[in-house]
Amino acid sequence: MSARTVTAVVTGAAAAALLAAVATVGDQWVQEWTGAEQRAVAAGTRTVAVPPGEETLVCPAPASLPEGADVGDSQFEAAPVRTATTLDAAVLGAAGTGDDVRPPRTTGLGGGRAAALDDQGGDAAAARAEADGVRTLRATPVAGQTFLAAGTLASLTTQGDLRGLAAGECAVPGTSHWLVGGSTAVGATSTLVVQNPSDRPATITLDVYGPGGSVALGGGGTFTVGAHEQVTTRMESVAPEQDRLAVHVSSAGARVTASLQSQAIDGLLPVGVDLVGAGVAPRRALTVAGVVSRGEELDDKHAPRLRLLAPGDGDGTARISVYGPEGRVVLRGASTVELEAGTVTDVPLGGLPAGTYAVAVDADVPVTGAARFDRPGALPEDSVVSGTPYDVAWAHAQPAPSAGAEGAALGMVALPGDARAEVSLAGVPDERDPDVDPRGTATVTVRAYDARGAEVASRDVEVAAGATTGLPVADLTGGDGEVPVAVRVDRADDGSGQGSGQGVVWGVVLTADDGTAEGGTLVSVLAPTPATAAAGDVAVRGIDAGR
Amino acid sequence: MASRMTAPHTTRARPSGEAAPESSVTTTGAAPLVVAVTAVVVTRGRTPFLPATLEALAAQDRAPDEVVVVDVGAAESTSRHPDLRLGEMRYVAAAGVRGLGEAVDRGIQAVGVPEDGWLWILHDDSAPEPDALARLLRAVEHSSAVGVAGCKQRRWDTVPDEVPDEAPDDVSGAAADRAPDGTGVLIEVGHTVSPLGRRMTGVDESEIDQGQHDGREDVLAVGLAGALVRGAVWTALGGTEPEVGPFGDGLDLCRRARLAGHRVVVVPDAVVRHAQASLLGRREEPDAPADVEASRYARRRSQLFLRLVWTSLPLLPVVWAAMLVWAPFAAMYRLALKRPAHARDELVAAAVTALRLVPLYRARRRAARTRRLPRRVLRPLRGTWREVAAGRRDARLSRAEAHRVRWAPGELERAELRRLARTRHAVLGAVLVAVVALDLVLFGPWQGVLADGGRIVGGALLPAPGTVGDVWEAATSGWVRDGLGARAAADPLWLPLAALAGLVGGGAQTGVNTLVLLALPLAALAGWAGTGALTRAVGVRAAGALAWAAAPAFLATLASGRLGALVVHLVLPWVLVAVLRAVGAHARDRVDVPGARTGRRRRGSLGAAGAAGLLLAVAVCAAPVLLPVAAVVLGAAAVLARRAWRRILLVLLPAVVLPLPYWVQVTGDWSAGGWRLLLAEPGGPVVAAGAPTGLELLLGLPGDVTWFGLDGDGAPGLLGRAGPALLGAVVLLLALVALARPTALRGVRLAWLGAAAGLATAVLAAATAVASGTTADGRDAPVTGWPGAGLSVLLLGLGAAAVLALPDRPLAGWHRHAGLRRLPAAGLAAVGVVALLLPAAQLASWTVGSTAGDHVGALRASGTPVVPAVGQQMQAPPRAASVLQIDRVEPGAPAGQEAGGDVAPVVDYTLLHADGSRLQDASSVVAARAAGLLPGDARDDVTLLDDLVADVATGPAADAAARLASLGVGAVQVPAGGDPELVTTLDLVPGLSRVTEGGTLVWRVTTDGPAPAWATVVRTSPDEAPDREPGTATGGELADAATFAPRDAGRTLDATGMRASGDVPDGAEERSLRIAAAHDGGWRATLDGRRLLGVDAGGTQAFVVGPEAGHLHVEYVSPHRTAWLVLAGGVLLVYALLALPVGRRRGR
Repeated sequence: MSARTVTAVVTGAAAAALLAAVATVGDQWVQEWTGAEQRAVAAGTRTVAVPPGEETLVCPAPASLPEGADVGDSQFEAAPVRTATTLDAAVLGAAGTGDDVRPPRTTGLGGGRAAALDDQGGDAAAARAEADGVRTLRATPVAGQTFLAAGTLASLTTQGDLRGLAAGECAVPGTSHWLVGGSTAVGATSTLVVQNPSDRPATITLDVYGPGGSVALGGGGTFTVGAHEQVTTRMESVAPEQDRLAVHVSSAGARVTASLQSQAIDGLLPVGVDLVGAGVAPRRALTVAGVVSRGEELDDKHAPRLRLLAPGDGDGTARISVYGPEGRVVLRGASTVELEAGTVTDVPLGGLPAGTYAVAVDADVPVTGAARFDRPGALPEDSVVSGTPYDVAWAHAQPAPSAGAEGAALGMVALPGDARAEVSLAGVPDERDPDVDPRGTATVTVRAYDARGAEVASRDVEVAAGATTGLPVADLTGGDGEVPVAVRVDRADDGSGQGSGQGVVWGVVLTADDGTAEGGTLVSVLAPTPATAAAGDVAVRGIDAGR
Repeated sequence: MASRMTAPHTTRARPSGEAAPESSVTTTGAAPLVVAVTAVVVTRGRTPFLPATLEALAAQDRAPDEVVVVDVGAAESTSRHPDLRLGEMRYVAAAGVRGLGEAVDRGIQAVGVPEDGWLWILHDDSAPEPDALARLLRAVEHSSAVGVAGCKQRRWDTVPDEVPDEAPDDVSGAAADRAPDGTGVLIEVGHTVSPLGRRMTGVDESEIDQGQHDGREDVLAVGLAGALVRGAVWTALGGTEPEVGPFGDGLDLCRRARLAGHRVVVVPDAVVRHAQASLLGRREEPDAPADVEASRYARRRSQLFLRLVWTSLPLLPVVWAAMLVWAPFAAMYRLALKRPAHARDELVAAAVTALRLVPLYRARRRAARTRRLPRRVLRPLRGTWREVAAGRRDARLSRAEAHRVRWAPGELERAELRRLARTRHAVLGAVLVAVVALDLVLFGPWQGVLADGGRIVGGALLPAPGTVGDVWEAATSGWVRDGLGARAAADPLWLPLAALAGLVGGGAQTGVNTLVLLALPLAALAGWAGTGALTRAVGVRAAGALAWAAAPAFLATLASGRLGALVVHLVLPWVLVAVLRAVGAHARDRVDVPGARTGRRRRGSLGAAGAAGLLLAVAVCAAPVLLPVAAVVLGAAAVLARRAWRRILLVLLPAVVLPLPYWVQVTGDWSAGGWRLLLAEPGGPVVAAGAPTGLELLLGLPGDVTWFGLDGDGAPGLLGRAGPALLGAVVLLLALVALARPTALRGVRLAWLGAAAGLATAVLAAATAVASGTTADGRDAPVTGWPGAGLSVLLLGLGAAAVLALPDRPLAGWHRHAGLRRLPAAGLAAVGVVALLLPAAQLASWTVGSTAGDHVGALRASGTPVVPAVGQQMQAPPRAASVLQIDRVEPGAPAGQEAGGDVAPVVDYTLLHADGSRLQDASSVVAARAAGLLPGDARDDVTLLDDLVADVATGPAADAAARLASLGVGAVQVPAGGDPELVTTLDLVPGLSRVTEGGTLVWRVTTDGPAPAWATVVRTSPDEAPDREPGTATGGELADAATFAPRDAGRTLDATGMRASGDVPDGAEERSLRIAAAHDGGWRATLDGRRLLGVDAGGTQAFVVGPEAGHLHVEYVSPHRTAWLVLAGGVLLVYALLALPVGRRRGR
């Protein structure tokens, strides 16, 4: 073998070995010393502390009869009794008087007529007062703390067309509101109230959906709400004859709140009033909590109903999961629903055993929705008409809860003083496949606050997955003393550090008496106002535009 | 040894029949004069020519009265001996004498020259014919007007018959043939000068003396070798000019003699054979090949010096300056002719001559002292332009003829070559047609948008609005306009991009569009050329072209808009071609015809080395990591090809010089992360989908690539997954075969070394974080380097090895053999078919897979502006305001849908200075710093913007408009489909007024001052930022220091975003100039030329302006920028001239 051949063989083998070594060993070896990916990820987004601005919650307008409703014989007057309206508000984690911001208070739409909330010098404050019109709840969060604010306006009417308990949460102003509920069929009245607490006028555009799809609006589909003003629109005039109603209120120029007062009479019998608040924007997964069934038959027209709307362009299918006190209930024949784009669909929830339920909806198109249930009552003995009056409660949709957020605040609800409240907690599993049995429990802490914002009671509650658990507020506080002003639910930190595979959604079912022998015939449902976590931090990131 | 040192004697017996003229006794004319002739032979020691010269002198018919040999090379000690003799001749040792004139003077001193005597000046290498002196004397004896009489000079050939093939076909080329019976090649019969002072003999380089020039008598000058100079004239003129040196001394002397009133004649009968040893560099070695270049510098110097001496005094400064100005151009011309030594001579000669002022003064005085006649008497003797032109033409024609005789192929060979060329063109045409058709399918639908001024964006490809000037400024200013700007070395890719933009007519976007649209055909062309430098088999070349255009890494590069790796892929094969040509190792067409010129020794080309330097510089600018790769490979090549090591290493220089600021940045912070910059890909940061493994990279795959989207189970899925790797696998296999074959040992191993370096680069790049970016759904993610450039090197290396493994004529065996012996050829044919099919399949799969809607991969043609017209108006000069784009996104949510709700929304923002984030404002240095991968000061300007954006995005901050205005933000915009909540928030911000409805929403920033602009004169003094460490201030402090009340704003200056200027009137109080740029020491402001004090106004740059009126000017001055540009420009110019395809000849 000549020297040349040897050289060729040696160098050739060396070259091949070099390449093979780079390919096989190289990438593992490189991974060890080039690191720094995490640094690059962490540097991508920067968090900027911004002094939190004042938060405003606008409470709905008190329930009232539309103008012109009170006509005719005084014997049949629509409003024989006065409507009692109260405003309850609680704020936790707000900057107080010591700071150079204004303390929590309620004001009129324009910021006038301020009334401070009671506090004990801490960051909690609360108030319970007669409501004298539209009020807003204003408070400034403390930077870095969880901020909870809730207000409830409740109108209690024991007789007349308005008979019923109409309660609604004070809402955060926004540019888009989905109001699902009500009707404009004969005998039904739906009054839309749009409130603008800001300094700029807002241009409002309505999209109305009915059983026949999206409703072409005549005049009234677009209007302006001046600064610090509210505009009341009767939906009958905008979109008459819609048996099932859903309204999308979009605003440009300023943030507004919107609520729908739904009221109906059957002949001379009042068949329910409630304030319909804004539910979640259309999404693929949503829940409704606090749906009470009295064990109605499947074909009972007063059985609870789930109203769904897929406002997008495409038709879709929704899968409905119902969770009750005994666990998951299979809804025969209605576990999946075909959704037609723009059409408001009602899914009857009859045939359920008596109890309080939560409903989870999973759709392949974005949907929004609400649920309603009726509660029969009795007429006072001196009544000139006969029949069974009803009260109705509308529960609007909440986002499907996310699991694993341990220690997170699940929101707060302010409670009216003249109603009994029951907190209804539901464990909604992440995996809602009908073939998979939900299992596991989650622990939540329910706390109650009095009219000065002080915590008066708390209790840890185990919520089983796929089941609802009721906790009357009276039980929580021991039944003595006055009704607490607010309840708050937190996901308890069970220390396991593992996600339980389920989220918790909750609502508050209110019942009140109408003065007749049969008690608790007036109902309403409240959904929690979500907490603002770590107010004041804004994540910003520099990007490139134009790609 | 002795024979070598002695030149052949040229003295021959006179031809019979010709009587020797009786020189000293004449029978006719005036009374015979007996004149004394002192012959002075000047030598430097014992030269090989001296004995022959002395012998010729001794054989003169009319012997000189005295012969003095002056030896200027004698030892100092010898000089002290008077009365030395060399044979019968007087020997004067004249140590330390410089120049001929002084040597002659020493000779005269020794023997004395009578007033009416003559000096016969001879060089040691000028042997006179036996009758030379006699004929000279006869010519001068009747005229006392003659001061100088010169001989006809013929060449004294000392070189044997054999002429090397490669000898430069200049002065003594092939035609330096032996002259038959006594006639020889003429050197001169007297000479004159061109109008510019260049020597003109009127004689061709290879002209044989047939008496054709014997009619000359009065001439401007004669060569001093063999010239007879009247002793009195010599004394009066003071001899020759010492500064002039050996070339041009005769010219100078003759001119002065002429102007002193003497005649200068040439005596064509008197012949001296002149070896021109100094001129041709043969003084030490008479057998050395004649090299007329050896004396070039000296000749050029004396020529320039004489021009200065002889020009009239008023014109002297002009000529002096013109000499200096012209020298670089002359040097450039020489460079373009691939003669760098000449270029250097031109420059050095001019510079040195310009500095020799004292000798110039002396020479001019000497000339003036003896001048009796005006200069114009010389005019008839001087050459005219017409003669110059004619001379040039003759020279060119004779050179061309000589070249044709020596190099041109024969008729048969030419026909054969033509046939090869036809095949080649047909195959190349077919390949290009196929690729262009594919290109049309891919990009054809974009033509409408692009014709309407659209742009190609997507992936890493950002919009590139602007002109060549903008790109140039971004590339060289040292200031990166990212946000409020930062000092950083720009990505070097923008330099070639600027050149490209200039090439396509000035628009940066046009350049980018062109590059993307033509990428596929250009890649095929590059593959064709690169393969062609290794083999001449057209089939292999076609496969190479297709494979190069279909390389999965290249297609992924193109689809993701990564310009750097794209440019690398298009340029690398040409670098290979140029380097191979530079060392002369490229494949050439060979034809089997009798008489074909084969076996010629291969010479490299300097021009190709220049081109290789430029091409490599482009590739390195596009992917800086290629510099170390090239250094390794070329270093190894220089070791393996020792003959051409200089030329190989020369290739690296432009790549080092051109991105010099970038290298400073890389090496300055090397261990702290600067090395990452080598691997960064220029352009917008793109998060790669997944990290490829080493094996994938080895097979040329940059990540997950499947054929036709098949990746399921079963056979189709297997094919889909394995398909893209097949091409790489075939190339790898062939390269392995090449390793095992005994052919092209060095080349194959070099190729493998290159492949290993490329793979290492790719592996390193794919694993190295270089920036932070966001995924498509808005999550933060690290951006790693892109392995594309490394994979291109890998494919080039393995491909080169594979091609070298193939025989020159792969299918020749098929025709030559039969039966089983045809198998190898059949196998090669099968490989060829596979090699053609695989790229075709890859291209087809990619075309099907990556074109979706109007997208090609991530690329799309966009005709809609990022910034609506109203915003673009603000961004244009003279306001040069910026537009702040904000949007709120929920990371992890697909576009248009909500996320789970547990992820905090992020406010994305960007400060736009043009219609979109400009490509040339993307800086890998800034990106790496922002990601914490490279050390750098905390950027106060980023903090400022972050705070401002957070405030604007969360609520109606009362001072938001003022703060926006003071940062030069003219408008805020939310892109189409942006967060409606954010839109409403912005609607509520005081001072922002919405000006558009629908699409991209724009809010104008309105304050009670002038409209926001880049440069504003403010009626308050800038608050000196309190002493603080950079980056320690909280947002609030910064914001306070950075903003100024809009009502304080005076006037705004006309600005471009990088500079501003304008007049300011008198002001009562202290004022300040605020510019919307981050504070940096490089900003310079002047008021009527006076520097203003720069101040850090809380992160932004401010200047203290006094109450005086004046013209304000602000600009950014980067240190060392000029030095770098001059250096880089000089290097580029030199290489570009070298690379110019002129002055080359085929076969050299």
